[in-house]
Amino acid sequence: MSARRLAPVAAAALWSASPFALADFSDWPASVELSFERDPAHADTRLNPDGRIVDTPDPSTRAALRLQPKLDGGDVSLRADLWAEWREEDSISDGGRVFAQEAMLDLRFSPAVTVSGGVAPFRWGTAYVWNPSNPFPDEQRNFTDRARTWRAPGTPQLGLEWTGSADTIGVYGVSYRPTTALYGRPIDLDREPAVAVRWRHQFEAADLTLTFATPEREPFFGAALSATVSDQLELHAEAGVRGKRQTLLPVARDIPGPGGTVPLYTLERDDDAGRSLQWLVGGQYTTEGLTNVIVEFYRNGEGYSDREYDHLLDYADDATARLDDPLFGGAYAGYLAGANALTGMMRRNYGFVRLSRDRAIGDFDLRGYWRYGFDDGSSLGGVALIHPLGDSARVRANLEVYGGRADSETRLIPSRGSAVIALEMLF
Amino acid sequence: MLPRIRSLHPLRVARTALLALLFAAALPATAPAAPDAVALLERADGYRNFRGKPFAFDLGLTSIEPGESERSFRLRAEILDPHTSLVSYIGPATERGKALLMNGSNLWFYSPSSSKPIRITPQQRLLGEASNGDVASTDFSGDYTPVWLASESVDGVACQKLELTAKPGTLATYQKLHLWLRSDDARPVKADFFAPSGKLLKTAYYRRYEPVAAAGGKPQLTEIEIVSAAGEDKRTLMRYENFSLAPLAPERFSLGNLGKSR
Repeated sequence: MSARRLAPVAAAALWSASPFALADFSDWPASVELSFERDPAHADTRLNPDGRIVDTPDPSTRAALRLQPKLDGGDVSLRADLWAEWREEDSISDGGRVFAQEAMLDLRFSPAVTVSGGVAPFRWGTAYVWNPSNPFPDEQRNFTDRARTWRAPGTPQLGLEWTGSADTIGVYGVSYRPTTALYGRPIDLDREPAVAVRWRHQFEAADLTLTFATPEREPFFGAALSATVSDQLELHAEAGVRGKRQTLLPVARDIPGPGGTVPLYTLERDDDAGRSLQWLVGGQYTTEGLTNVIVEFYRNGEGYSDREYDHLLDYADDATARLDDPLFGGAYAGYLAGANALTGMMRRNYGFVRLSRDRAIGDFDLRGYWRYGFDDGSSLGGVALIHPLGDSARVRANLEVYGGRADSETRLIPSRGSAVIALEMLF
Repeated sequence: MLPRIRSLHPLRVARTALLALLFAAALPATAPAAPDAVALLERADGYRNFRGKPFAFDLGLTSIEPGESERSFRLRAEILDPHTSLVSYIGPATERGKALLMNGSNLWFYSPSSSKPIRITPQQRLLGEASNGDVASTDFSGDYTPVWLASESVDGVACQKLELTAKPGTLATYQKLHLWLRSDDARPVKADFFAPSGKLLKTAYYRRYEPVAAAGGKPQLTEIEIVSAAGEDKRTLMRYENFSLAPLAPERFSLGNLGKSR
């Protein structure tokens, strides 16, 4: 018998010998999504002069298949979140990609002790808009459509967790790849090993989580607290301290050129950077009319100061003036491209408000949000409408707009916003 | 000297005895002994839970609003004790995988789309007029202090009316509610739920009780209708079925397990 014929037989034998063949419970949810997206270009920003750096995005069509199997064999369980996604733009085809957002095997050695291994995203933290206590954040592009925002391959990890009546302690080994981009193509850095230790304690109506981790080979301390203070009000706070600030800073260097020295601009980490602190405070309130309101204020210690931000823009202006330099034009374009990838949340102080109400307009569920940057008057707002179509389908429309004062960071985003309409069918 | 005994006129004796009889007869009617509100509430809770035993049931929620299409959820609720419960969304497909965990005064919600449990408040809406706390909590006694208010009739049924006020330090879903219990067996008949401002939020009608075979035929609350006080004829039906009494693993009711048990 050929190896090709043997393979399915072997697979069937392995399956029948596995705990999943005797699974107490199995579930195979799946969904199919078809969406159309339009991102009107903002083709004349200080980082994208005359649209020369970032291509004008075409309207795009996406189709996605999602499988979320769960097999529970008692002390062994498997959970997965698998994606097959295809994207087509008017002018180019991105082709497809298949990835596992989650594929985790859980082994329960006792009711209190579990070992979990595989890939999964880290969603640590209590806040809505941003989680400064999470040492392993992944990309967050906007704030309404989280299923799309967080659609990314999971992080490889192996964890040991002990759960008591009010405490959970976990130790995790992680292969972490930080991403620096919020908009445009992410700048993925190399994957690096990291460890994390996490303790969570549950109080009567509150919980506290303390985290120590080593992302990017630097110590990280995080703390998160959430408390329900009444039947309508929840409060939360998070903080994180990094041993060394990881921000890519604008740097100017004079190098020898044909007619003397010329300045070159790059984005680099400061090897001598000190600690950075980020924190967030907020709460959510449910009105008597059942509208849910989230208000959060946060400080991003990794963000640019006024001086650093001015440098970023001044260097961008000079790089723009030198884009046609036959020798160094490519380097100036590279600086501008890197700066474009940072736009979105590169300042320090923000306020955020989100409203959510089911059946707000007829059968439509409504979500609305607004983020304001206190440092430069940046503004980012959006609205989402969701309408069920029977029991197994829904249509969703999202609109997000980037505004704010001139030269604010949201006015630097190479897009004026995004409009998405999606049809989702679930099985 | 011996004390002098005053002779009593027979007519005066008769008049005094008559007055005493009249007073005694009138006494219960004007100042009846108030029923024990705590005992009444504990009896009423017996129709909503199984007195400390872990149990599970299926719950159908249907929201009906004039001019809008009906929405229905199917949930599976596992109750470890009156303040520890896990509610899993079974259907429709658009809701499947979501879960609600109550552990003491902590309430978390998990959605597969965000892959992250978030702390929520009991008042947040589950569906229609049903709040999270309406489903996750099956025990009034632990959350509220009852006071007997009056004997009243609801739809021709003699009832005892209690006022329930949230106990300090608990996370009761409502600050105050009025609960009408049948006078003969303490079954909940109706409840008015109030906001902290005193505004009436909604009224629940406890429509149906059915014997549960797994509990020796004990009558159990199986249908509630919640009507909005907004006067727009918005209502939500809650139907309980498939009760089972069996040990439940306590580790299923931990926050760490919430995402894993989707």
